[in-house]
Amino acid sequence: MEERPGRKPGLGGWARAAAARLWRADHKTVGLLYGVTAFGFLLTGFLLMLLLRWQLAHPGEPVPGATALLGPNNPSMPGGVITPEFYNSLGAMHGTIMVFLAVAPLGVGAFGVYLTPLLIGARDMAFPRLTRAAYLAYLAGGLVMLAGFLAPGGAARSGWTAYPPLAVIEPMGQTFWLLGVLGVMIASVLHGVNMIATVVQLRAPGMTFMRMPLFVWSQVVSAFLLLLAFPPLGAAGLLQLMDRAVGTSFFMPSGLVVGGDVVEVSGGGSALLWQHLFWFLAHPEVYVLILPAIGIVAEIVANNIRKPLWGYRAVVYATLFLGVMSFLVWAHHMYLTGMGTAISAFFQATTLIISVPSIVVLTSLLIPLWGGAIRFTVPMLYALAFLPMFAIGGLTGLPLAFAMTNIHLHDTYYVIGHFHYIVAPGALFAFFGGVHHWFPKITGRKMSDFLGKLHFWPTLVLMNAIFFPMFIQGLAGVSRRLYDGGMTYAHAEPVLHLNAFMSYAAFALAVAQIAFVLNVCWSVWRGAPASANPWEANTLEWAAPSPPVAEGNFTGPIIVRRGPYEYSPPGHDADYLPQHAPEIKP
Amino acid sequence: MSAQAPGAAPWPIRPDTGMNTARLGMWLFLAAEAMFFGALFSAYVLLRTAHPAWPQGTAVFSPALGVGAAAAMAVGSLCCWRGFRALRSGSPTVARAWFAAACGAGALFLLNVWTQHGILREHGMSPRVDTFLAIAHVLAGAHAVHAAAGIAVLAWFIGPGWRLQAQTPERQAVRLANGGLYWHFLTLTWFCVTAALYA
Ligand code: HEM
Ligand SMILES: [Cu+2]
Repeated sequence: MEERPGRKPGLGGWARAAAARLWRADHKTVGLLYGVTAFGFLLTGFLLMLLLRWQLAHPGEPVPGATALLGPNNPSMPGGVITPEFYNSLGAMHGTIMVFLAVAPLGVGAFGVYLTPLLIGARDMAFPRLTRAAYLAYLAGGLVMLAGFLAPGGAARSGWTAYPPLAVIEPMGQTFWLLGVLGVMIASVLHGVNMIATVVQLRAPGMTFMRMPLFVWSQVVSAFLLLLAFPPLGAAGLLQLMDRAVGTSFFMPSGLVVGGDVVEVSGGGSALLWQHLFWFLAHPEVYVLILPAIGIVAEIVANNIRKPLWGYRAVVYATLFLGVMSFLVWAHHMYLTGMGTAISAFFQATTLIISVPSIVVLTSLLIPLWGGAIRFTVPMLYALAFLPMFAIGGLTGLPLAFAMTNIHLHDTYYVIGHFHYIVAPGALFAFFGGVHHWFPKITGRKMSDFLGKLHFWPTLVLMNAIFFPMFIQGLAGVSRRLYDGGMTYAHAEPVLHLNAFMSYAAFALAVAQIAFVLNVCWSVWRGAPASANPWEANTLEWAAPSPPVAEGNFTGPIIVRRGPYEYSPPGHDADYLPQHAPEIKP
Repeated sequence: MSAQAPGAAPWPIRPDTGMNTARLGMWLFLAAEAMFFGALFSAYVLLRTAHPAWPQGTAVFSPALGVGAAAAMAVGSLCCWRGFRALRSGSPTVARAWFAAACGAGALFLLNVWTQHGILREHGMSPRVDTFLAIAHVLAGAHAVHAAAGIAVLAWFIGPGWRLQAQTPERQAVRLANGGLYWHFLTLTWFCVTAALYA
């Protein structure tokens, strides 16, 4: 904005300045935009979940306040009661929003785009205009998907997996879902190109691959997964759009009968084809949800144990191996489709193999805790909580990996418990920790420790109160995606009382989040000023001022001289030695 | 770029990786594109094996048009390759002419596909009829949309975008070369589409 002396900028001028600020394509602006947008979607997905949980605790009872808000004749909630169709919309949209529009964009968008250039000593991403284009495609895709709620018949309601033939014969909302997914695919491909090119080409002098922080490795591998796994879902989405809009039969079997009538399509298609294409994306996608989280936790742990991270190389190779293997396990979601024992055996074997590198990563973060002079900072609390939550989520996956035990557990609440341990107390804890850890770098101010702990402890307890009982219900055979939470099933009877318990824990969890929101808002304005390197950390983002220089991040040239985790080096006074610091002379 | 050694790439390269950033970006993008078409081809294989009587493609589509379309893509590729060589030997004006010729070949290709589509329509062979026609339409259609976009971008580079040649010739060179690379990808893919539909 040019300054015009003697004239105050009016509202129009202010708006124009804000727009110009938001239209910048630099990685910090776009990273923050990702953060704000994805947090908005996270809240949306959370609110949908609260409605779900209300219905599960009080099946068929009106949601408090719904009639006052929506009127008594809202088609989704007549008399304030959630209809079965609307329940399905809530479930499908909660899952889709959380995966594609909240957790992945937080990990690779907000944290990835903001931090990666800083951590490798770069001035920006490789292709700034692609950074912005990817964000806009994500935003557009997300808004289209949300607009599905306004479509006749409501939003998509065939689960986040959108299995045909159901998804093909559902109302309009599913088309919005497909278009939204196409937007997210474009965003993911553009982001993948950009992120890989950035890390390969823009590392500061001396930043060899084996000196890159683990966070950066997690971002590169995630970018590869997005780049290579999303296009097949895009292709599958295109085929499903064709089935819906043009009337083709890619996924429609012959002789399909719906509601007593034969569906008028040529048939000959394969519903399983969709499942293969979908899971070919969706399994790598779950690694996109968790890898950035692991990267964040690795940085926080390394910084707070004040000694070198154990097995850096092993973690790097394990992460790369995870990335490759994640393309070879997809059909472990399809054991019950009758695809055959030979194929099941293959995917069971690959799934067991992929659990090895996960354990390598986890132990490499656990072992150095012994004998470390741990600083129990707020980010470290989240990181420490992440480890057992991730472990529970991972270990409960093993019974699902075996084709035989999977028969009992498939599509039960056990599955819901398993993957939520990874993505809710798992990934989200990493993100909370990451916000606390990097907030001083981004804003130049620290977050409140008190509010941080006030958020951390209740959240930890409540997350477990919500998700642990799901294992019990699932083992008892209660199915997922049930409108009434299992009321009509005799086998669910003994574990039915857990529904209300989980739901009220979820409502309490909502209340507990107030502390976090307050903390962010309060600290932006009032937090204690932070120096450039308040955590006495080694990685390069702390070599930049807080906040980093708007154009180019750093105040001078950066030369990297050592690995990222040389804490408490012998013969050195301070217990840290930044990557760019000059050699120490003993 | 006058000061460069003859035969060296006319764009900046990072010494330790030996790569130009924009070239790397294009290769990565092509990997994603390959996955996209790869998924469509896997769908094709699955649908074909499940089909009770997969038709003989030569009986459904015009063989002459098929040869013509493949030839148009191949000629376009050849033009792009000559343009790339002209870029390397430091004669951007020659390169421009070659890339213009490629755009011409591309226009012929699109015309060809459009004609074939019209013939199918006339005979009521819509994608609704069976999975064979459905996947044929999607493979050819998806390719044609990609080709149209690629040709439009290339045409823009040598048309209104030519002013970059005066400002930053190395950026102009790299994006023209990238356009050529994309063309080769489209040609390869089109050969696969032809084989899949006619064989
Ligand atoms: C603390 C927050 C969360 C709670 C209490 C929660 C709760 C639930 C519940 C109860 C369901 C099952 C609905 C049903 O089967 O009828 C569900 C499904 C699901 N959730 Fe969450 N969730 C939370 C956060 C997340 C996050 C962060 C993700 C991110 C990936 C996520 C992804 C999913 C997915 C993919 C489904 C499956 C949807 C489907 O059936 O198609 N959730 N969630
Ligand atoms: Cu999986």
